[in-house]
Amino acid sequence: MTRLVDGGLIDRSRTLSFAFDGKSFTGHPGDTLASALLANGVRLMGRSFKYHRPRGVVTAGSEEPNALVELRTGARREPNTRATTVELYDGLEAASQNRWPSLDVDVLSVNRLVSPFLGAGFYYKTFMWPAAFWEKLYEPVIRRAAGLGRAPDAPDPDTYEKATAFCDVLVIGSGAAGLAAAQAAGRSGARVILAEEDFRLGGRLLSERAVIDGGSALDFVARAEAELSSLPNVRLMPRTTVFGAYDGSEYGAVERVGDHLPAPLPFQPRQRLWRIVAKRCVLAAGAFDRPIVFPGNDRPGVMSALALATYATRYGAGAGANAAVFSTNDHAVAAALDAAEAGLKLDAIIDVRPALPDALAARAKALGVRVITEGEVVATSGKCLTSITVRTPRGSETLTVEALGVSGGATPNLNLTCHLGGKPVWREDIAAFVPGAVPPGMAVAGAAAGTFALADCLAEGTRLGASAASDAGFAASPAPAPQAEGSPTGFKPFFHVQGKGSAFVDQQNDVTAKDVALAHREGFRAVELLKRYTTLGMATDQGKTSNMAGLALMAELTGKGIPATGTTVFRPPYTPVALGVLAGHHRGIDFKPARPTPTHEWALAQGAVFVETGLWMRAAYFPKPGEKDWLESVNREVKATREAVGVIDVSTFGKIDLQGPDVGVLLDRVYINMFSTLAVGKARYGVMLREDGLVMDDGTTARLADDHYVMTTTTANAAKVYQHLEFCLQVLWPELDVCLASVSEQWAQIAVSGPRSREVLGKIVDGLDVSNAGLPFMGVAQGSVMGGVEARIFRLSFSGELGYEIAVPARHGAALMQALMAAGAPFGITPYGVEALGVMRIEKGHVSGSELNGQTCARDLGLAKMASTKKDYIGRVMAGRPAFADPDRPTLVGFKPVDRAARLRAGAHFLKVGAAATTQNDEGYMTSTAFSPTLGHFIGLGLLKRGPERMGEKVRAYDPVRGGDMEVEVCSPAFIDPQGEKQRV
Amino acid sequence: MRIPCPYCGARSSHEFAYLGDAAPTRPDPSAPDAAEAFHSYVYERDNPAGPMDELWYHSAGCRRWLKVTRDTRTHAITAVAFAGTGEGGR
Amino acid sequence: MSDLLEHIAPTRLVPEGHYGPEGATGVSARAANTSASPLAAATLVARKGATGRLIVACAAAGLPLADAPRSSGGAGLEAVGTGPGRWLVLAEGMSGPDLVARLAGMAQGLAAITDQSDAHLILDICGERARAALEKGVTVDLEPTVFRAGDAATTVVSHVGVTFWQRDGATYRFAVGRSFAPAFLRWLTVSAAEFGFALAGTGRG
Repeated sequence: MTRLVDGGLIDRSRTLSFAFDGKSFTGHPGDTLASALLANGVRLMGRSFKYHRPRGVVTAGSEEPNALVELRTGARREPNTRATTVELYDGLEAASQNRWPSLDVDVLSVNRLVSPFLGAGFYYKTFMWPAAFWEKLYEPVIRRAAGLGRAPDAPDPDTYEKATAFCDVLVIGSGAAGLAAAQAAGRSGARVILAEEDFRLGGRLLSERAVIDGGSALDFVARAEAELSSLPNVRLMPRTTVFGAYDGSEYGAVERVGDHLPAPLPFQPRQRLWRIVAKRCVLAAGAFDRPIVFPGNDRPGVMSALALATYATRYGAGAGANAAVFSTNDHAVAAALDAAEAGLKLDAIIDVRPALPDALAARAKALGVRVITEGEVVATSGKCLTSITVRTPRGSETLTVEALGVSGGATPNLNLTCHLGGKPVWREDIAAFVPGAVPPGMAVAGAAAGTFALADCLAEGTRLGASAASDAGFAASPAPAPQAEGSPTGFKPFFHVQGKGSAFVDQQNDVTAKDVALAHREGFRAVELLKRYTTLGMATDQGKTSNMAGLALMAELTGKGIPATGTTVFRPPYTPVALGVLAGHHRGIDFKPARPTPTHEWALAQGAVFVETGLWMRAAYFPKPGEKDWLESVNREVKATREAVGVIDVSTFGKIDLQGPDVGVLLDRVYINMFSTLAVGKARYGVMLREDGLVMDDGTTARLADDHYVMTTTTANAAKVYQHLEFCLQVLWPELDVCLASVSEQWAQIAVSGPRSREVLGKIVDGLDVSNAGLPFMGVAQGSVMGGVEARIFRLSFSGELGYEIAVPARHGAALMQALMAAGAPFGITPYGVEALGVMRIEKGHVSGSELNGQTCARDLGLAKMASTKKDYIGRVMAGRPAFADPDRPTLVGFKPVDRAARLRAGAHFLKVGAAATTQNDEGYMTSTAFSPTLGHFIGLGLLKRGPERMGEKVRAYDPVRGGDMEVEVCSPAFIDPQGEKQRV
Repeated sequence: MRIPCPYCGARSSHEFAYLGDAAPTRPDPSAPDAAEAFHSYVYERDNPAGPMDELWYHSAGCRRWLKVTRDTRTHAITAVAFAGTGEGGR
Repeated sequence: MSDLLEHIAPTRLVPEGHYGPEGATGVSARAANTSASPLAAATLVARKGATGRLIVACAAAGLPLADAPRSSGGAGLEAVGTGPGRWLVLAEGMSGPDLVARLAGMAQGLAAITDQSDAHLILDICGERARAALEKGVTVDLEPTVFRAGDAATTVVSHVGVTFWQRDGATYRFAVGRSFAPAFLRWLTVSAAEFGFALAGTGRG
């Protein structure tokens, strides 16, 4: 055990049990999985991605590259979880990744022996070998060897939410600068959101022995938190990572609502995705401790110096029985001394500089910590660290230590400033990139901005918090910033120890200093190329700790210097975001809304099988007991409709109410045919084009009064047509006096078709004359049905039979269906679904979505004769293009299989009989097919080159995807009743 | 991205449908060069780097077509007005 | 999908009842246009160039209208701005055709009036935690100093288009397209359940 005797922000009065790789351990509330493992003396936490090298934790935050575990078990198993951010809970189970058979003995660590072959550019070079080698040999081996954790193999049992929050000032990060900014902004009355990735506010202040306003840093954090909690205009969001900055001052964040618990609380999500709309933002995300590249720097026990200190001071966990620190800067030395004061056995501080500041040297002396100046760590040994070799101008020596804290200085955490394209700029005085252009409304405070001294962080946070509030319209009273003692910020830029042995730049991707040199030799010198070639900075940590070292090494090699070398682009998300939380509520059956028709429950009771058409749930067919498949049901429905009467809910059509003196003018301009001349009480089929001359939609529009029409659109295009009409009225012809209203939801509409439909209708109308004379084909009647229910009756036919569509207010839709069923019972009325509807429209040669596919013009569909020559309309000019009049264009015709028993398939391409199946010989394709129970064989509609000229010709229908290849006979698309007599009786 | 709708206020861009450049106007269909003019109207577009007037439709809101001035480099929106009459078309 | 809704068909209204932790009711919702208490609705759309005159005519007939996303009441009607020169008008204790006739009398030919009495589920949502539940889908700022009593919004919530307005300090009234009502209620139920959610007026399922 390496738990320190006392101290730390952990609740030692309570003990939590947990298991790692099946072994039981204990920890305390306030621990992370990483701190609890370290406190239990577990230093080996994972194996590296490529070489399977043993690895330990290197950070105490979300930038962790190494300590990735599979958290939880079963359906909740989550791979690649950073042990450094997992809050310990009782019963936690975690497992190491990427090792076999065990973490301790990993067979594939032999990869290290072949590492010369797995170096930079390995993937690219291997791909150049014979393809067969790749497939049979390399890929299986690599799949086994490389890879991170395993995804769970059962559906995620948890729920997720998405929410939107608005604020005047968003403060990201709750360290010294963030707390000061939130206080300054909060006191002005501005709405403030303070988002903190950690489960506890305070940032580095939780780990450091600083004096603020005369008290401890922890007292300052507690006071600030208490004040902020008391302000009704401030929302504190711990466990919330702001992962992206987006256009329009929007930020994306994930709140881990239940990740610190064994399972989310009842009725609560596991995580919540926040879209935060902020007028202003103060980014106070702190800085990363910069690693130093030296031989053996990846051995478990070697970690960030600030992490080493954090484990000791915040978590009361020693990273080893004894420790040393290898540093380049005062901050790390001070933190190490804090750790020693907290009880960590710190044997030595090895600093690259010739001397430490007097105050730090004196503290070290008082604590009995040896200081080795001008020192560099040149080697390490042990599976987990046992000793280090230190080289100074005075000679070399070996120190026996279990932990080594390393700090090469601070790298400002400026990722979010780059999300809208901002480029960091190099500051020579602090040897670091700092934010350049930042997203509109964002200001950067504290270490993220390159401001490192505590007093300066507090002052900058206060200043920027106040100015953010004032920019958002709140008068911030000029309250003084919290005061802190000066903290030394001396440093020496130092990135890389020269020496023999593997020195790792990116531990997550096993990229070594040698790989960077190889990339340089092979010409991949630009940082973005370096990244792709070596994989440096990729994967779950996105190089938060490694990028800086990588580009410093490249700068060293090219001799260009770091600013000219540049840095790679940071993109969202800042840390990995689960797909589940991006989906939120919209999974499974809630993936999208399911729109029921007014007769849905009735259809369900009839045993209908439903099909999704867009968002709508429509009855596909109504199987009866004894029917062996859907086709048998559909055949019965078609026959019953053609021989007697059938009924179908067509409420899903788009319905648009048009009123005003100019409706006729508008319709003339949007349809290819005339509507201003339509008589009141009549309906007409219309086709509308896009301005490019292709067909947009079709449907029937009826004139209810002089200045009142009602339009129907196809189910799929309801919203699109409405938008188009608004475009015409608002943008193209604003002088037209037309008022639109969507009435798609208001009216239920049921089609009754078949030779007996008039008799059925006659039984439910309230005294309306529905005779052929009283309500002729394409006539419209308004009145009531079922004893007083307002109704509109349109005599239309999609099936080709005598037919009517009856519209009633939606609440009466189900009752209308029941009334029709009762009235039609003597005639054997049969409900039919969209399958039978499709069969009947193909039998009649009516076009539908498969033909109105955005690639066909009116002429292609045989509708050119409908086009009026007496007026202009949208798409008219472009429809006149020579290409659209080319007789070679595939044009709508019907098809019958020559072998009448054969099955036709939509998608088959047409070829001349005997022609080879090449693109040059392609003559069009089949758009729709159905088995026609009326004719007793399959029929099809399709677009065939010069189709109408080729009646009776045999062509080849070639369908290689499904192995179809047959001869079909070209015929009229109207398979039955080509003169349309049945619908007019 | 948020678009300040003159009627509804600032709304998420998800509520809007994008059409594109607001500059082209529908040519006179009876002009002798109508075929060429329509070809240009339908297909030919500039792709400026900088401020551009665009047509957006507030499909999930007030159902007004808007002329939005957006900088194509930064997505900054500097002006929004009702398309067409400038008075919401009513 | 959450366990809460697992046994409820996605095409059905979520049945009335209590969802979430027992004893707590942070959010309540009630369907306002049930078959027992129908509510008439109509769209009122000003004719070309007639918005100003229509507002004057309706005001004279007792119904003040704002050409803005605001709700207003008068003459026993409730009007909500949904777009320039466009309103959704609701009336209790009246049939749709009666409301259309009533509005036609007020508008004096200055507007198109369309019966929409069957087009929506009208849902009143209130409770101490109503805003906390609504922010899980509403992307409009509901802070009381920003969205005040009488304010209205036509927007999209959880992929469903809605118009809603704050009737008084405590209640938001939502008009949801009839066929989208089941999806909307599913979203509302899972969003409000953590606070305790009482749903009424949607039937027993």
